[in-house]
Amino acid sequence: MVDEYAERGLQSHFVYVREAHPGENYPAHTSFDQKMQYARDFQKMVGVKRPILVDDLEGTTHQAFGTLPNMTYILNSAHTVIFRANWTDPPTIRFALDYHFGALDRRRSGLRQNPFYAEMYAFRWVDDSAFMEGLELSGQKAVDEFQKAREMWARGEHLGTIRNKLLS
Amino acid sequence: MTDAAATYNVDVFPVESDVEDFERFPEVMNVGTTAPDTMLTDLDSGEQVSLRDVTRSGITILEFGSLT
Repeated sequence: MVDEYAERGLQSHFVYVREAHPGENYPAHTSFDQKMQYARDFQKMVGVKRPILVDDLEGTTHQAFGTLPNMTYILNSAHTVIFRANWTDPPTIRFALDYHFGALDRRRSGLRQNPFYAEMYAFRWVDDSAFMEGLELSGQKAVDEFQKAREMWARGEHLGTIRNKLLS
Repeated sequence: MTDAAATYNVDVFPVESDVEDFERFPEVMNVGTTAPDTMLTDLDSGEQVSLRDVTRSGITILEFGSLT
């Protein structure tokens, strides 16, 4: 996706934040050196080619952008937010990029356009097996905590309240 | 480690604060607003970089996440 729009200046960075599912193998960060080492492990295990930017130990950047574990933002060269999602979902990012670059093309072709504000709810594909592999990598504690959370969501508690509201 | 760092780096899956963060998200830095300029560390070089300097060169995707 980034390669496709690279000629138009698109770039992608991964911002490494706190551990979402700390476990025996990867407990919560207690030092910045440890956070850098986890980020190196992530880069190697997942084969990340994009630049990785590591947030400070206090999570200054993460908290400024919303503190959620897997968000995506798209910023333009004026440092303005042009898209954001509280979960990373490649088809949704693709939709936003195609829309944005398409609008720039239409403007260049002479079509008169005015910007406006829009919001939407999106639906992401869930890959349970890949997600469970990630939890197991962290350790049994992470697996057990997530299982408890899942039972709470199934009872309609916590995140289950949001899901039920949107899928009604 | 500072108190702020200890509070932020919770050693459990934050089920309850997670839902608060999800509900708060629509009020945080909406589209059309200018993002803050924060400092991050480039993993490969170890150098401190300004987020504003990163975005200056073009449209930038920022994906947030971690190993776990």
